[in-house]
Amino acid sequence: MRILPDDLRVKHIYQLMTSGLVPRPIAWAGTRSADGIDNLAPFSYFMGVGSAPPSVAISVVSHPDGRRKDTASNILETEVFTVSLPSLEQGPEMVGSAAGLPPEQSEFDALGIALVEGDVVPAPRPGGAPFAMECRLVQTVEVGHATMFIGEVVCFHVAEAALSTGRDGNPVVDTAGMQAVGRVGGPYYAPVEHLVRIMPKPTGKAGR
Amino acid sequence: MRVPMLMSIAVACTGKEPADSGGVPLEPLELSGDPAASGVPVGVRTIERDGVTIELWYPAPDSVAAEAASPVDFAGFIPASVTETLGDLALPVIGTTAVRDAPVRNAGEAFPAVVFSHGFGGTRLQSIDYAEHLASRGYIVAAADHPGRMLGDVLPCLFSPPLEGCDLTGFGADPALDDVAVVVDTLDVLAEDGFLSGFVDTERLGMSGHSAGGNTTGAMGDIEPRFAALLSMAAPGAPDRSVPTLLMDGTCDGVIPTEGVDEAFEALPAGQRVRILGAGHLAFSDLCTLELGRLADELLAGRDDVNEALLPQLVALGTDGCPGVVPTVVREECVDAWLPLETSEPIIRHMSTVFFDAHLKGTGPGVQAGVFSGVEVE
Repeated sequence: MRILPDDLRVKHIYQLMTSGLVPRPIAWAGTRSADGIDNLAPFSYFMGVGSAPPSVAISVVSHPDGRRKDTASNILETEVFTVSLPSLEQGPEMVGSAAGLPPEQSEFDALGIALVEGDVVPAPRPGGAPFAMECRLVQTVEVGHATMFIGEVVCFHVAEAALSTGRDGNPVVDTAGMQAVGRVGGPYYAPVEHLVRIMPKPTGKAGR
Repeated sequence: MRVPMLMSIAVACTGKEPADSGGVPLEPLELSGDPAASGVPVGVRTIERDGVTIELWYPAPDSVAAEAASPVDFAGFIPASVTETLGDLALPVIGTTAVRDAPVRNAGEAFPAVVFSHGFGGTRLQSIDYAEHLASRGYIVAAADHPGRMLGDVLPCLFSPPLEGCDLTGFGADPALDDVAVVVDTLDVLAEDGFLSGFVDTERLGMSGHSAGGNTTGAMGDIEPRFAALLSMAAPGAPDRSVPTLLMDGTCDGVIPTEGVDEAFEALPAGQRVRILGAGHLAFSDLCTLELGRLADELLAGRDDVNEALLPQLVALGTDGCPGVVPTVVREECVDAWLPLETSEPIIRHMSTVFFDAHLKGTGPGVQAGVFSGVEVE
């Protein structure tokens, strides 16, 4: 079936994309307003951008009435943010932070989430996340109703339980140990719990 | 024989005449041998204490049987922000049998008490049939509202930006633990010097809950040592200590997977497991009566201000297990429809009654296999 976006309402495009673009990693973004109110919210339009410099991008879609979400306002005000990858165990708090509280309320306080202060940037992050990054804003890209924030990672954090060692003795994240969870369509999340290697097919013609 | 000992201690402790017994004739509890059958008439009162709203159901005299019961209307639980946006939701009312402010039955004995904790998107009145049934069988049943996970907290979160009153904080720390402590304290006060004086035995307490309230049940089992029996419905809520615990759920529950409840059961120090084949999440409540799925379809479909990321999840909380909705769980017994509520209701009535009878009253054989087909008991 061929689908042209002009034939769909915005919310139906959202449903199509979020059910097909799977699994998506979840950026649990920690920000602080200029007035000092902490905010925490999950975003799954999220990607790594490059390694030199280390950079990630999150896209924050505005409310349907055009108002910016607190996360976007805060990043524009302070030009820093944190991105944490929640573990499956942190799922309920992560979902609870998705509704959006009034700007004067902090998700950390309301949901009882431990706040860890950034080591390098003045932005909060949730304690207990297996992998987290402190970011400085390097570029803002407006795409219609979405604002994409590209941040340079100035500090990584890996929880002990998720820390492993690469071939050169370098730090890497133990994917199984971090209990990662991805976002898929509808009400569903996908725990990353079954890892496979992809090898040439055992029968038939070998690759060229 | 622990329970009869507790009973004698309780009589020695309370040792007072029922407060209202002057005008109320002695009417011993005469109950049908079928635990799923309703017993005596039920009275109901609503009280506020320490900012907590508590509903109390209790056995009432036979004389009130002819009095009209008023149905439960959930309109009062809907925040103004939601009705201003969607208009009057015209929620169907839930039928009840309890008579408001009836006297307490003078059965010549103090009744054990069972606390109930509602789930996410529920209210203290979400499991009326369960509460009224236990009360009709000789229990005081007490349920509090838990702000932070009530229906009225969830509905404003269906919108983007959320309407005033949106509160999903119940996804984080359990907001109900403090409320349940107030309920227990209230029972103590009412037992000492209130309308339940002489009618409630607060040394024989049971704890129960549905969904998030089942998790509250497991946690409270470790917090309040007087809870001598725990019933967790559609939830993996389990205590660390050894106390009689029943985990009961439906195998087609798409909100809390039955496998997770199995895992909790494996880790239980002392407990039993009831699986109702084909039942869904809301079989343990009366929330299907509200037809929230139909409302969501009718009222939200044409709107562009809905929080599309949260809507499917929140709608599942209000529809899983209800007639006219298709199960999402892939199992043999979950194809096309959930077990009809008319079938699961007597099972839930039976199992909850025999469980609390065995552990709070010291009567009956307790939860046993073989009573119902389509129910697995361990």
